[in-house]
Amino acid sequence: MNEHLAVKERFAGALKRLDGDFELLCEMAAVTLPDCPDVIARIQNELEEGDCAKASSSLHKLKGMLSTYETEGVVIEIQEMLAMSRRGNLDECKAMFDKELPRINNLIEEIQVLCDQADSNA
Amino acid sequence: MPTVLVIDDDPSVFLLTRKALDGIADIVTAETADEGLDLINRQKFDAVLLDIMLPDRNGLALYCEIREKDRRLPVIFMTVEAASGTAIEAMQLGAFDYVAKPLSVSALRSLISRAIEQRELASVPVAIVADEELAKESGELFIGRSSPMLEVFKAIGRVSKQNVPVLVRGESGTGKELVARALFQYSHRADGPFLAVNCAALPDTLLESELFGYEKGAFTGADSRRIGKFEQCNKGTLFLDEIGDMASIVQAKVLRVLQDQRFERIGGNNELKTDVRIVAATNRPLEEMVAESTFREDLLYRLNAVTIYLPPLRERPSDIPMLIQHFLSQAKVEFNKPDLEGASPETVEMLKGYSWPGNVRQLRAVVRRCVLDSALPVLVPEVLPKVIKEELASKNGQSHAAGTAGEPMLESGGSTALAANTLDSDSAASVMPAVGGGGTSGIHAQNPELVPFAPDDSDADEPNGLGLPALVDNLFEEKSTDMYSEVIAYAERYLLLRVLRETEGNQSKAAAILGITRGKLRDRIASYDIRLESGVRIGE
Repeated sequence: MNEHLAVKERFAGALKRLDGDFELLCEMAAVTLPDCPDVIARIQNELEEGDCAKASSSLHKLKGMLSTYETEGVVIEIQEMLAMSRRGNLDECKAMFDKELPRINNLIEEIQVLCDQADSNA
Repeated sequence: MPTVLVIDDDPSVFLLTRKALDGIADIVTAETADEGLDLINRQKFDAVLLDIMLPDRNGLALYCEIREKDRRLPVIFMTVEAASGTAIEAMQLGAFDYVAKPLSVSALRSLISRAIEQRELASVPVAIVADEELAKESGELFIGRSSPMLEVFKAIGRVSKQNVPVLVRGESGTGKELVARALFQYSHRADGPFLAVNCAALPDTLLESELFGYEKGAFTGADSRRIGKFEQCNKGTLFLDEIGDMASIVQAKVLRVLQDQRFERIGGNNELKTDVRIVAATNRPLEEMVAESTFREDLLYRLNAVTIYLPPLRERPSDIPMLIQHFLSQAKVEFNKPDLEGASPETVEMLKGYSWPGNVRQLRAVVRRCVLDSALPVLVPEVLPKVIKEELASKNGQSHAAGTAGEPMLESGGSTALAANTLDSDSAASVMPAVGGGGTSGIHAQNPELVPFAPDDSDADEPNGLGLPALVDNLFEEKSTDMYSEVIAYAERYLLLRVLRETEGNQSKAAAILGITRGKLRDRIASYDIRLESGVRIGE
């Protein structure tokens, strides 16, 4: 029960936007999360290949996916990477992405708790 | 049930939209631009929620294709980068609105409900069509077929070729200068000059110089000879607007020109002759002013040999649709809005029902403002200014705050806000704020209808002039179409009170400081209901 409350508190901002509908938040997480590893892998490949346009598009998508749950922290860093990529500063962007990846994964793990909740609801 | 198409490659958005619009609209989804366009080709939608970044195409490109198919379909953009130039571009292209991601259920519900409602209102055939050709043809001509306006046209026709002065009377905004121009255009003097002078816009000494000119050295600063309007306008027509605001000394000189077409420049000894036809205009009660000795009786009789009365717009409501069409057509061309189709029947009915205190000028300003504000090709009631909705709601005896889809004029609760503004401070917008004299000079202005004073509050509403920014903000919020005059009135009221307080109510001193005549000052004092009562505090 305490864990349940902690999750709600962790995603209080997202819940507020959803009129407090925790179930909806969990359902959205269950829809979003499976795509995250694929998008992250794509970003890494596109940065390796030096494809600014594709990397920008994928970073934009990742930002959209994660911002439902978190609008601060690493999501702001993703926006910064997006700006770097659009400017063509791929080396800088790649370095930052490597640095921020643990934080991104950490957020995904937190969202995973919502998915688990959705599974248990189902 | 209305149907909303959601185009986004993030399926979690579909879940959220379904939740937000539960009971309001059915949702159809597409994950790509092509899929979305295909659906639009096959099915009818009431609104579209469109992500700017789609996997196969930019949302803006898709939006242009949607508009090709259905210009009235409201499209709301979604973007995870709300501050981006793309979002601004989307609005410039005519998007209904845009929302920032992450989406909020309540904001989305409200926005889409509004879009659906406007779609419904805009779906009926337009009552008035905006026609570019009409804008070209009509120019600045009079618009109207009502019998009061036909009388005006007839009067212009009767007197235009007669070489007599004409007095044009009518409320502000009725088009008095247009009458003067028509008199000029249809006169034998049409090849001569037409000059207009606003007597209220210039201090008395400047007005005299402007009209009669001056010789070099006539007064300090008169470095060279100046030719006045009466000389410039020889063989032409001179339009003296707001003649009721003319100072006595100038009235006397104008009378002489009217009598024998002779005058002297200021500081000059040579009598000059001119051949000018005078058309004067005013909305002031000249007869009462004669009784009060603030306007010369002989000048009035000279001027009003022929008088043309312009009816206020509320007395010729049958002309309103034609005027709307004219102004819509002009705005369509001027604001480069080729998609503008016209105004919905409900909008036209509401415009016809309003009292138009600012007359045709106000109607023009409202139509232009609506064209600028409307994201749809059809003007629907929602875009009308609050003041119109409030008056109609009040006429209908309905609650200001209530609002239903069928009664759009009640949507924005206004009179509560108005009352709050009224009692708020001198920053209040469209009402005349209470202003106090602080108890010593006994000078105050009030609008008894709006501001019930409590004697103990005599200092509470002292205007400090600092309310101007708030006033302008408020007028923007209210979608004012009379901002210029509201702001000028605020400033003028503040100035008069400040100067009168400085002179302890001495009007001669105040007029000298202000650079206006005592008559004009008295008029302004009356206009603003400023009371000069020695030792009397505000309120009674």
